[in-house]
Amino acid sequence: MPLLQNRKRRQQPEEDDTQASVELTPEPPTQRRRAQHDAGADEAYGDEYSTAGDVSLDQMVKKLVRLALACEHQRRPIRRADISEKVLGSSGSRHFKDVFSIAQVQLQSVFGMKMTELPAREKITLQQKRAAAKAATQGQNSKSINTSWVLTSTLPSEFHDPEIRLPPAAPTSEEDGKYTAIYSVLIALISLSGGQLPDAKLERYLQRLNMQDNTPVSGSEKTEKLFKRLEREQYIVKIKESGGGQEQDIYWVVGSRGKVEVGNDGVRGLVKAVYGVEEDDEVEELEKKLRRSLGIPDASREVNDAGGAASQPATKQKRRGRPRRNDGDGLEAEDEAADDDDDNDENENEDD
Amino acid sequence: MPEANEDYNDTHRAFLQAILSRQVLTFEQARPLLAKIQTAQNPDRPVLENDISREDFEQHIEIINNVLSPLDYEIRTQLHQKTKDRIYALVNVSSDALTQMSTTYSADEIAFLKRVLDAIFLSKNTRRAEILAISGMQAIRLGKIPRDGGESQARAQDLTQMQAEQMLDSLVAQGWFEQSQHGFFSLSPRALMELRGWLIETYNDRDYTEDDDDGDSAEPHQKIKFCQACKDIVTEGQRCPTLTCEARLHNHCVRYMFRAQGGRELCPLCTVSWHDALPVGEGAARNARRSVNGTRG
Repeated sequence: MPLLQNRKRRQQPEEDDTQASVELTPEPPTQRRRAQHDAGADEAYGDEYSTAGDVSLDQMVKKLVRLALACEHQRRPIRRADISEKVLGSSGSRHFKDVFSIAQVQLQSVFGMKMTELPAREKITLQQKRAAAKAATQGQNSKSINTSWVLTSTLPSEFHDPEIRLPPAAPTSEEDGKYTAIYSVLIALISLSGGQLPDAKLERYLQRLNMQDNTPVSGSEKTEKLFKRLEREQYIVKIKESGGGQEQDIYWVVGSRGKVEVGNDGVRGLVKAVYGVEEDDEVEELEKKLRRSLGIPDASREVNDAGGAASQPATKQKRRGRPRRNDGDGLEAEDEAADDDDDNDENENEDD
Repeated sequence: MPEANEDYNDTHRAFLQAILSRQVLTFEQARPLLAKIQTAQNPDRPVLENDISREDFEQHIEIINNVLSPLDYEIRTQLHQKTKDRIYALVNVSSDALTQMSTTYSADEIAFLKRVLDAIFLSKNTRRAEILAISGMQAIRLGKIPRDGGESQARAQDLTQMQAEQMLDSLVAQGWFEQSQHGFFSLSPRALMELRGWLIETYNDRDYTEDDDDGDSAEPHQKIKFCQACKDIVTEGQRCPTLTCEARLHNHCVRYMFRAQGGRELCPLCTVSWHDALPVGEGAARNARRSVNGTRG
């Protein structure tokens, strides 16, 4: 990329810009306004009107930013293939890196957001692992094609206030709040069950939440339909694994969007809100248990690990202190399910 | 680019995120939001809702708009024609709302929407009665594609009654349409802001210019009309008692217009007394029914 050349061009008088914008876009006024207020900053990453074939790099960046916002509005991931098709076009594919990194800077500086890469789908079943290994040996680089991103906020945590960060109005804030509540609870259930939740157990949780048939979303949407959406938007993923014989293992894991948007932090926040502990020692206690349930290494572990589970101060905290990684312990899970009814309500109230 | 602007900081970004997810905001909704945001930015100096003046708010939006404009977004504002609330909406400048909607709705649904818009701005918007709204029943009936032969057969592109109802509900939920107490659907302020260009292009003659203040009456009947005072589109308001006159005013703009005319309560175009002004909007439907009943022999 001829960065140097472009810096030079930036210093030329403004007519240059307006002239260029007439060629490139049908909206000269917008472009002109831009020229007034951003002249200095463009120095930082240069090229405004360097042309890459028909479309300038700047135009591609703008398209990518707009694509990212549009995708996020519909909770679709920003797919690498979409970027190629809708942003870069036939001639621009070699500019992906430049376009992407400038768009990333713009998203961050204008919207306080960034495109976060979705973790690749975990190869969980044996078949998937085999297929991945096979692809790897054949030198297929499926990663770069299948990469996708979602927008996440880069604002400091002070701004992560539910009254500031409202649920998106898609279709309405209230509906979206319900949806958020449901997937947050489901992700918490899966995460606290060691990352995998058998289908039969999920079924039981749904009964307890009174969601086995219908959900509160958009006038009692069918649970089945809602789960299709949850899977499509990558909040949770259903895994089917045939264990050799007739038996088929069906279980749920947290999907890539679920990991990015909710993740362990979200689960911790949700559990803390449900338990509502306020005393310092109670908070600490709960934190520790949560870290153990979620399999996060505990920094203060060596200090008082042994006494942790025995001295339970909070009455609401039931048998949750035991370390647990991969085995889904039935009893513990039941407790969580019982509490999750409150969760749901609580989240909805917050959103109202 | 925005780093150049030292005024632009996280309070603007947070506000922008909020309006991105909400689509529309009023000043009353923005006040507690801005207070929270400014407190978050500066926890040592808590800001209360009442500390936020309209100037603060407007300035906030102006700074954001300066940074947004290169990306073809803009926060626009308009008074709600019925409630008179000032509505702020994040508007996509370079692509019209129909194009955006086509990503969420099917082609059949968009075609239905187009039929509803045509009804609102053409058949429900005649020289005699500018209703610019459509009753729920009539809208649902448009689910079926009208056939010239009069015999309408269900085809793949038709929406069933239920689909049409769902589509209308969804348009209301997403803030494109509003439904009145009497069940009339009309465009929301946000839709008017987003679709302004498209509406003018679709329903008005191309040579029509907005700043045509003298309202040359030789011009053909324009389907989309603008307020003589604020220049926004009028879909609810008043019209000159002279049916051929193009003067329209929002209800909330009438007194500004009179004040600007030195207190003379006359039509700004044809100077006839404004006292017998006719309604634009749903009220025109009731008027029309009366006059049709009275005049038809």
